[in-house]
Amino acid sequence: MKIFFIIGAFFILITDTTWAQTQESNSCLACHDDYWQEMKGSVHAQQGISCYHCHGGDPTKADQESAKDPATGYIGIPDKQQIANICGGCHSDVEKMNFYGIRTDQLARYKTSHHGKKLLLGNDTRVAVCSDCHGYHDVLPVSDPNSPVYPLNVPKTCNRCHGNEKLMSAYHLPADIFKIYQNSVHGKALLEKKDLSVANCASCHGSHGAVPPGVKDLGATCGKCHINEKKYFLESVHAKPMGQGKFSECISCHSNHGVQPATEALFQQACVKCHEAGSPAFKEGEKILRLLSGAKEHLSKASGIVRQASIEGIFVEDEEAILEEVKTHVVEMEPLQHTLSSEKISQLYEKAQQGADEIKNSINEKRQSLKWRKITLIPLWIFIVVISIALLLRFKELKHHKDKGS
Amino acid sequence: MDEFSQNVSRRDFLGWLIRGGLMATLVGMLAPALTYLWPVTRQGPAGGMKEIGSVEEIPVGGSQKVIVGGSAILIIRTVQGFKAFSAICTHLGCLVDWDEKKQEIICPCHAGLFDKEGQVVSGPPSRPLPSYAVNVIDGKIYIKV
Repeated sequence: MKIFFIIGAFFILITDTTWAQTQESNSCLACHDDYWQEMKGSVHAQQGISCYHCHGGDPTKADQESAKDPATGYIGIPDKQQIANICGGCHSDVEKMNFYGIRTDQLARYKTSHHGKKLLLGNDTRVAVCSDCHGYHDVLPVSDPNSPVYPLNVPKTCNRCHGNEKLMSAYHLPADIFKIYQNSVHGKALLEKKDLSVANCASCHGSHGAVPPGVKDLGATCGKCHINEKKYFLESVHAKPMGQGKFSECISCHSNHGVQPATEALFQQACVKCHEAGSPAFKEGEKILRLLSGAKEHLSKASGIVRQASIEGIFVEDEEAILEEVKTHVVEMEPLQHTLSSEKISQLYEKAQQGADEIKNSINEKRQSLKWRKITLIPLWIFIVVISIALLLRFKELKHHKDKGS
Repeated sequence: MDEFSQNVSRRDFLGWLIRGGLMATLVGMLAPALTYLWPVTRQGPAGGMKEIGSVEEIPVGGSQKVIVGGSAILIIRTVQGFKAFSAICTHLGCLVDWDEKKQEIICPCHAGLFDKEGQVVSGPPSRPLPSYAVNVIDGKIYIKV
């Protein structure tokens, strides 16, 4: 307890000393103490970045006039274009950033983004610049859960502007993206399950170089995470029209911001958008659907058999191993269906079916064995009864001899 | 009365029956005691170690999948020695495979990649593969589950 008190006192002392030193060397704080309160916990304050690094001026001068002399580079509150260049001034400097292991292409990327182009070329100050997403005095590292650009907070940060109907209408953009995303499979995983590995806005659109992925880039965007789906899609008959720009790789079936868990119902909902019911392509889709449903049914039945056998006390270690293989084949079929090849999918289906049959036969054999073991108990019970009778007769005989002797 | 009935009295018959029954009961009691002692010498040292095969069965750079205690386990042999990981992918539970050429553990379902330490290299898995302690004693491989 005592040691904690000493450590606490030590930190208070250090903080107070730092504060006193900062106030002494930085005349800005004489008037702008409130800004220092905002800034002192930031990543910049921790690295010794001070007011004048962004606002200019000379903090060593005690009088306001000298401190804010234009000759000192004082700019006051920077405008949005200045913010991009001030932040970029340090963050694109390899020598400065090397020490922190931070990449230095943010400004270059920003210049390629829709935000950057509108601000820097069109002088449109309504678009986002560094401080709109990262904050200004209180900038935190991206890895800090309180940072507005921490993966969990990114959708809400983007929504500050992209949920503003008035602002978005000026760009003919929808303002309900966040609501749609919130109910998507990605949104639920991120916002409800706190799974940081799922896609947030920046995963698909980029962060500093934010642009909507075009028709041809969609596969690459989704394929960053859905690697096998993309690989198999490129083997499918849909790859050719996609290459011609006639077919949007993933969103044609799955949509974009509101992507829902891919269920079998998608075959009925998505295929009919382009293919007439009864057409050869539609029938191929139905065949694939039957294989997928059939494999899942085999898995479900096999799982039930193993579970029931386990409850009955049968040793099912081997069957559980086969069940894992069946499960793998069924899960493997999901990305493979993007090939749209019933031939390839049926190969996995057959493996899943064989595994399920093997489980069924093996458990049946074990049940038969258990039945015979129970039947074997009958002679054992007869043996016990005979021995018991024999002991009783022997006891009576001994007793009879004893009575006779006495 | 036949010759057997004359030579063997009812008393003798009961005696044989009881002695035979007692012998059978004794053997019946001894059998589980022996099967209790038997696995300790047959399945390896105490402390939850389980023998899964001999060193020669897995060449350097190769692998083997085994089921131990109901868990699928992937054993790989690198130049540094044997390593054992859960063979169940931490993404959606598919069985992973060892790619000898790339020296990586690959999930066939969603292309999850793990290095030879079981750490995630790329793909959707968010957690590394759980690992198990491996011991090699007298040319036999034991893992602790």
